[in-house]
Amino acid sequence: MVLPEDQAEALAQAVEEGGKREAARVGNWIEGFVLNPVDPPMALTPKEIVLRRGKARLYRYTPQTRLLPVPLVILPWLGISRPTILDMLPGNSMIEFLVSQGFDTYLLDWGEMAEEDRHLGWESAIGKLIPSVISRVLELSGAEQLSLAGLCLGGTMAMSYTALTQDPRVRNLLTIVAPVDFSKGGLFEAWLGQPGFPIDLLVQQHGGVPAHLMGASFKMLRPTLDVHALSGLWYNMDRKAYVTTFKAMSKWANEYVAMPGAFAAKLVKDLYSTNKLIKGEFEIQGQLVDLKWIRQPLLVIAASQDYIAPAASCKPLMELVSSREREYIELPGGHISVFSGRHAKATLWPQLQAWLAPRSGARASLQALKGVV
Amino acid sequence: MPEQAPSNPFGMWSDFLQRNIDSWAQAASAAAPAAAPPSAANVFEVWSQLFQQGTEAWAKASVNGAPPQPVDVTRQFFSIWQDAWMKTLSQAPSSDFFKAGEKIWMEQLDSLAQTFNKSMGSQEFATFLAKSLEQQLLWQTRAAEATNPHFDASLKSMNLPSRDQIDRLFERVIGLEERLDEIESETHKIAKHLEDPAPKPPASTPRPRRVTPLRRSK
Repeated sequence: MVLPEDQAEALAQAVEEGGKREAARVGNWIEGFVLNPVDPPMALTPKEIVLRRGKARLYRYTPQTRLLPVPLVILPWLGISRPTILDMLPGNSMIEFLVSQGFDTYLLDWGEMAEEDRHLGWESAIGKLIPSVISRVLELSGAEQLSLAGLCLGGTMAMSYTALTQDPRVRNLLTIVAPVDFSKGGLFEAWLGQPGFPIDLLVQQHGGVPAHLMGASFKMLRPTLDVHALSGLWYNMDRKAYVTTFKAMSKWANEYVAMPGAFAAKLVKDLYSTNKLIKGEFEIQGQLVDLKWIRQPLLVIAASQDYIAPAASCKPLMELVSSREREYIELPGGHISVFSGRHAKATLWPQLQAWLAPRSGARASLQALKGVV
Repeated sequence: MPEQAPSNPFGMWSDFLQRNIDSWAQAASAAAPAAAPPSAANVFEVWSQLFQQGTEAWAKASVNGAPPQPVDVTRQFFSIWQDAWMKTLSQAPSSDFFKAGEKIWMEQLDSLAQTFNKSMGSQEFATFLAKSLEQQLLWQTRAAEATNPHFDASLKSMNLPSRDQIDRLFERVIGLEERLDEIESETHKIAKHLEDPAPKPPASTPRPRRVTPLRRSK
């Protein structure tokens, strides 16, 4: 390789700087992976279990400051992965942030699903579990209403519940990367929307979508993801904090959870295959879910680089509801990085706080926000 | 005499890559020393096209004939890859030598992911995937049907429960847990009601509308 002479000095400087970075990388690699091979513990924000239903657990996070009057219930996805990513690491946790901002925060953890949970479906989740969670939260908090924030398929469940029951106890509805138009569901729509997709056989054989198949399908969705993550690690390994975050993220991203059979079958047949929710044909417990019955203030959040629930599949909710107050925010990032990680800390979390705090009874939320960003 | 197109799909790919490298080299030699080197955006375009053409070549190979020998292909691929990098990086600004390399690599990965997405989003791939999964599940079902009775008999002879029996037991335990939870919840409600028999209705509950007869204007 022949280099121009006038660039030799700059190259020497680049090599020197590169050498320093290499040294930092090696040092952090030894410290992070050789001397301390254990993954950092996640979900450390103090909490207690306030409700048990089968394998599901409802957590209440210990308040750290004066609470806002309207509690917040976070409803994550069912199966697929653990919700620990919402409380990743101290200083890098959405839940920790919300708690520090005075939200009386609750999280529903659906638990580790397996073959014996094959009968758990949309009906039992929406008809039994979510109402129990809402009752318990209102009972504990002494509030009359709450905010419901659903993430991914949890958002789809939250909007279905709100539309179906028109529950007046739900004051605000937030959906984060929650698909509603499944015909724009990206590769999952192409694969699962196939009329020949053998979901019944899968449920019959495994009782649902087993964890190993869930993992394989997500890996196949983005075959370069692992190489991308490792390249990102290599280029950023000179920063010690990145190594800790990488280890936590990597551990979480490789721990898949099975999806119960009844839930998976309805997801494939009624949503990915026939897109019934957006057409008003999605049926739960014999009743049609009509999203126009959603009248609560609504915040829809989507991620522009989301290939699991593309923004185009999340945004249509805005046009389907009757809410007078509705806001759509599309942020840069992927399905997870939009709400978890250092970018989310600067983008989503402050916006979430700014939207929700005034609707949760806060008086001077914007002033408080200035101290956050 | 017209150039003969390579019949080997890898030949098509490497030919395409070689043409790109040559065009870059020409562009670089024609440019003044202070001129901007090939930008990462150009690199992205080049590699995007390259991967698309490569994918098409492999698809054609799988239809028209046997693919080339994997070892030869890999060796050729890495040789060309190395050559491309050497030429690319030699034309990048040297003060940004490493960062340019990082950027190019990450953009190549994105480009590769997009190419995969295009291929895997096709109807053919989706059908292939569904069929493959179905075949695998059918095979598993048949294997289970053939082997499970023997396993069950062996387990029974050892006085141990079968997997199905354990699953059923789990289902019953879950059902019992749910019923207990419901009973606990109802008991709690009754206890609360006894403590405070007339709770205030929630403020959010809409008041019943007062029905007044319509007044007819005279």
